[in-house]
Amino acid sequence: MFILKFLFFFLLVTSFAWGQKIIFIVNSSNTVSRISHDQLQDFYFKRNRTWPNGLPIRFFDRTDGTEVRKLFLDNILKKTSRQVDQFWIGQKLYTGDSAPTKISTNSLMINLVGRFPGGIGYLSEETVLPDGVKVIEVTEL
Amino acid sequence: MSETQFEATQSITRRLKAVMVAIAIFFVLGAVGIFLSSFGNFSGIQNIYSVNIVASQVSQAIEGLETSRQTIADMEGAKNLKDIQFAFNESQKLVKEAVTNAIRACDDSSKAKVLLEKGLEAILLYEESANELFFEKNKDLSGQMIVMNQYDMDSKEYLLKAQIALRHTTDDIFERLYANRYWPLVVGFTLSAIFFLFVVTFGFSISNKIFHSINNLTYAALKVSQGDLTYQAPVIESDELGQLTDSFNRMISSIHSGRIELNSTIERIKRLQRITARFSEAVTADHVMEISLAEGLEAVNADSGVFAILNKDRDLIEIQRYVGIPHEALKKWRSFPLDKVTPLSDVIRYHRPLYFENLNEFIERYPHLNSEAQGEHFLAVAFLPLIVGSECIGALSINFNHSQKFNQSDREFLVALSNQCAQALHRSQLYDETREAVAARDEFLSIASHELKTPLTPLKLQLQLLSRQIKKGEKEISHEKLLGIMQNFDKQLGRLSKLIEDLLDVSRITSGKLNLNLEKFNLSDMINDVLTQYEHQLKKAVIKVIFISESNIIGFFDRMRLEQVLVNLLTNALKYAPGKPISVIVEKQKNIALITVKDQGPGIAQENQERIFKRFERVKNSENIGGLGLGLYISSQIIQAHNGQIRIESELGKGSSFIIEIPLTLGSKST
Repeated sequence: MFILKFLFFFLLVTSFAWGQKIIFIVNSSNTVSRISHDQLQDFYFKRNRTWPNGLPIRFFDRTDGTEVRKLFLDNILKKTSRQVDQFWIGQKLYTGDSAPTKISTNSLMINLVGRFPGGIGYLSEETVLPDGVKVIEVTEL
Repeated sequence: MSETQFEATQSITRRLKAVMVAIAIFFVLGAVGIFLSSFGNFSGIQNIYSVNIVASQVSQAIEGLETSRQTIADMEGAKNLKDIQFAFNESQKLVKEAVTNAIRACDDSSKAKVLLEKGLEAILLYEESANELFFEKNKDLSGQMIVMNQYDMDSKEYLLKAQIALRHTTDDIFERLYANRYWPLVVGFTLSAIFFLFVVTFGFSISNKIFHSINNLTYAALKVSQGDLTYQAPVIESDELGQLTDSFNRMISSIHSGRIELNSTIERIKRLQRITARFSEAVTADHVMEISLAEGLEAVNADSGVFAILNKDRDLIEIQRYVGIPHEALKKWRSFPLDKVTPLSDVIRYHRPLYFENLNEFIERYPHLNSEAQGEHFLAVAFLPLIVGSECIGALSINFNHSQKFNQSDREFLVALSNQCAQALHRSQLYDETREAVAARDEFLSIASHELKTPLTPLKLQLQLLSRQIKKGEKEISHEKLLGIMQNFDKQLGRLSKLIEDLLDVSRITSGKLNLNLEKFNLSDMINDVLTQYEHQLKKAVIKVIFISESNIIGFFDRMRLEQVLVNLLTNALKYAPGKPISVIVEKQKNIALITVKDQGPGIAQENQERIFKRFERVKNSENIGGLGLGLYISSQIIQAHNGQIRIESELGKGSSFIIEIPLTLGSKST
């Protein structure tokens, strides 16, 4: 209980400290601890479809209109929502790839990342994480 | 002309056959080439068909998945969950069937197959997660829905990717088909071009050669038709036309040589005709030989020639005429016996010509004449017999200062020439004999007329005297005078009768009508009778006869004829050796009677001894002695009719012995 309270507190403090921020979570069974922006882009656009340990990547996106999605688009993808939609329309036609599933809530995101071993998704940082997922460190390079 | 070797590989027909085989091979190659070049396209079209099947299956599967999604979407407001589950499962069944069919229809190695297999896995996961949803309805519905969605999305993604891969495959095939659309055309056109080039090149080459060969042959034929037999058409190829040209050339060469030979034969025939014509003018043997040598040597282009004639006794060969050989060279060979081994004697003996084409052949045949041959003036020589009827009268040698081949026509010409020479020589000999005979006849006529006139003149004188006396009226002519006149008449008439009898005998002998009346008597008695009969006349001529005889020489003889012979011999002795003794000796040797009448007259020279037994022949210095010159001729004929012989042994100034050998019976011959 203590540990939970501590963690909650820790999360609360950190969100406060950086304002609205984005964190990336992966399934806790995932051994990868660090990921770069470029890798994230590759994962999102399905240019790379497996983790280094061979697990299939299952990227979960957030529904449009949320602050965290905007952060994701601006900071990671560096594209507008419209550009991303256009990309996926094209991809569907030419490669058959469809856009990652868009999740409306943090909890659902955590739920799904916890259910898929290769899952990866992002949250606003104030969210409290259960055991099934873990944060993955994102580096610029 | 040398033999031309022909190769079977050059044969036109063989080459044409090769061209035809090549055409057939080209056709087969063309067909195979076009088929191979279209093969990719055929398989491409087939692939499109199978890809289309797969694509339609994939589309069906995608449709099915959409239906399933719709079914799930209806689930939230639905009352009966089982119906939805049933509908979902049904559509999923269709989806799985379609995907399975598609996988089965795919190539093993194709990208689509891998994608479809992954799609099938995702569909199964989708179904699994849906079933979880149906059975655990209340638990985290939205999460489960999203998970399901996630698998649905995966499935669709794989199927879409497979669809795109299939489209790419189809595109590739189409692209390839499009890119290869001209290949069969190119292959066909290329092969046609090669084939055309081959046919044109080969055909042109063959036709060109054929054209040239025929052209050459035509030109040669034209040349030949214009009379040029020396032209030889060039042989271009050793094919059938080459062979034909070669044969044509040979034929023309053969005609050419034939014509040359014909011309030379004609020339020789003309020459023979000329020789014949000139022979008709030639009457003496010398003239004949001169013409023969002059014309004959020129005709065969010879350098020298020799005429050798056999003498009358046929035992000596005499060189009678020669041309082109120095006098000294023939000195030794003027006359030589027939039995000496020389080519001339061989030719005369065997009646066969001899030809020596060079000196070696001659020396090989007559090694003992080597030294003579080396000094001779010839290298090649032909020895030709001069044959008349079945007799050889001599030989002709035609000599060449160079080696000479005697071909058939040369030999025939030389034999013809020698035959003509022989005939002409024979004619000239006959001419000589005839001339001699005519001279003898003329002499005989003068003698006969003189001889017949001789007894007539005194007869006529006596008759005239007698008739004058009768006219004068002399009544008494003395008996003795009359007897004398009568005796004289008788003597002269006897002489005339003897002359006429002799002439009749000659006529009988000539016509073969001398018949013997054989009777058996003693020869010694008969001779004794004759001597007794002529005793008076012999005494008158003061001739003493010594008669020696064996007593008993009995045989079968014609008494009258033998008496005639004996009288003739005695008369001759009376005429030529009056006043000198005569001895008559009769003896018997085995079955032959030997009668020798020996006088001591002037004798007869050796050269006349044979002649006096011939018709109308008399000893030259006998002009003042009467006679026809028939006595000894008739005697010898009578003795020959008795199968005997008469001969003379005499020397000038030492008298003559006439020896008669006569068999005792007619059947056996005297030796």
